[in-house]
Amino acid sequence: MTVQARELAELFLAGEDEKAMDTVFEYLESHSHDELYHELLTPAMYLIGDWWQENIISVADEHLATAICDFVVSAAELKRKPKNGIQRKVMVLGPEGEDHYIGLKMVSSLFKDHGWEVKYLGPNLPLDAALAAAKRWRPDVIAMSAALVYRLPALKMYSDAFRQLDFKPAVLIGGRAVAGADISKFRTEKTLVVKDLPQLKNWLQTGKEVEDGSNLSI
Amino acid sequence: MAPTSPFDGWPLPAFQLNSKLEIIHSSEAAQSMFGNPASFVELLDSGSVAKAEKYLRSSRPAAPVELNFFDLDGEVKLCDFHCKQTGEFPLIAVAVPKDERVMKISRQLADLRKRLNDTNYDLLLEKEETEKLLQRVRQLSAPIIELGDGHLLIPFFGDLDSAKIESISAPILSAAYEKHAEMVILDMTAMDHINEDGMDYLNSLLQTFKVMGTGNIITGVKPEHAKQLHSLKSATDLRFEASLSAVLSERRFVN
Ligand code: B12
Repeated sequence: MTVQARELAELFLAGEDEKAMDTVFEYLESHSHDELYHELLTPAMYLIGDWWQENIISVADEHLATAICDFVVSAAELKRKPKNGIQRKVMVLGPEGEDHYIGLKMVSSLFKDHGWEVKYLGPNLPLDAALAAAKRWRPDVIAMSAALVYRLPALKMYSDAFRQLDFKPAVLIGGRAVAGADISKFRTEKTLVVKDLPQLKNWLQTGKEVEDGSNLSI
Repeated sequence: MAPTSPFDGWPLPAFQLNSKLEIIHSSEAAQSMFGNPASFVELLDSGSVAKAEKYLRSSRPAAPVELNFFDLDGEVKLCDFHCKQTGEFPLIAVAVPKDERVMKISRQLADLRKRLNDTNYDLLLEKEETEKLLQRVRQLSAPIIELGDGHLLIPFFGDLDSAKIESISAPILSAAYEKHAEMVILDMTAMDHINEDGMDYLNSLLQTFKVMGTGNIITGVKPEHAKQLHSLKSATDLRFEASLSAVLSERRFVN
């Protein structure tokens, strides 16, 4: 039987880094990294969010859980076999004021898995710094994430700024805030809204978006 | 302000709410921190609304409930919300802003992560630069020298391995093609080590020249390469010459 998200969430909250890592490595023996992120770690973190809503844990506990989850994601990264490069570059970041970054790390990892060269700039990156990095490195794609619903306007502002760049990078946006939002408000060209990792994987493999209405070009 | 407020002089944000969670009274501290809307849930971050409704309307827990408030500067403020356990209304409750120390540690952690990340990023840029240089060095280790009269001279420097081959093959072949080379002289005087990939490459390069109708001569073969290169000779009609200078003078490039 494979490990449940609940077990892992409990290890995160208990600060059991070693046990969490062992559990994840065991899981990886019979599962892919995509499955690890989408089916185990994301649900574990969402469960932690549910427990906060149920007043079982506090934000301080979430801090600890995030640190352990981050550690486990980094450790899992090292277990990945390097793929041959396909000469495509992606820059990954969160807009200013957005500190949630676990999703961003997973997105980076998925791109690497598909042979992309990844520049992970982390969350809470001011627009100036993001633009400077983009001009210097000229990525094919810029991927952004937001968990806070009120960061959607920032995502839009950043996307607009990136699309002004002369080398015309494609802009991908995702994250909890995006997955739940009415994104038709932000509709413009050349920004893709990607709901979750399976959709991202699909895009990476086929270059096409999933046409299910929840995933529109904005 | 209503003179009948039960909270006159209270030092903390305090509220009196009816069963629709509308604010009947709030303390001065509450108003200066969060403002004074009609409904209590308007003070909250959207991710805290369901939690507030659940725990304030019914099943009130003994422990305080953590809720995220928006302050008047638009910043999210995490508070411990204390209220009476019995389900009666009007409800009297106090919001205690969370200890700044937790927030401070959280900011410090974020700073540390940022610094680690910046370092990673700088290292990545440096690695990229180094790779470009290395690539350049590889290309320079097999320069293509035009001698005139349809002759190209390519001296190999250093080791011949797969990474080097990858960077030198295309320039060599396109030079031979574009310059209509009739004869390519490969000089091994300064070549160190050839590994298996190197031999395979040399073999396929020579085959390609043959197809293109380009002749070739290998000069400067050292004893340690002789054995490896000998196997090539049977596969292609190759000419070996001991010294580059002999070849050059024979072809009147030097006197
Ligand atoms: C852990 C956590 C924290 C931690 C850690 C944050 C960190 N550094 O990462 C801490 C405690 C620090 C924190 C802080 C805050 N948080 Co918080 N947090 C969470 C929690 C519980 C889990 C988040 C998480 O790690 N998820 C796991 C990751 C993997 O999921 P994900 O981000 O959704 O990413 C997945 C997909 O969306 C997708 N994806 C993500 N990005 C992208 C991008 C692209 C291009 C693609 C293709 C896909 C993609 O792939 C990922 C993998 O499956 C959520 C609850 C929840 N349900 O989400 C609240 C939550 C997001 N936080 C919330 C809030 C309000 C805050 C604070 C404002 C609270 C405060 N009092 O300080 C601060 C804000 C900090 C800031 N300025 O950003 C609210 C947001 C509500 C809202 N209005 O939007 C939530 C929903 C909790 C709640 N119910 O109130 N938080």
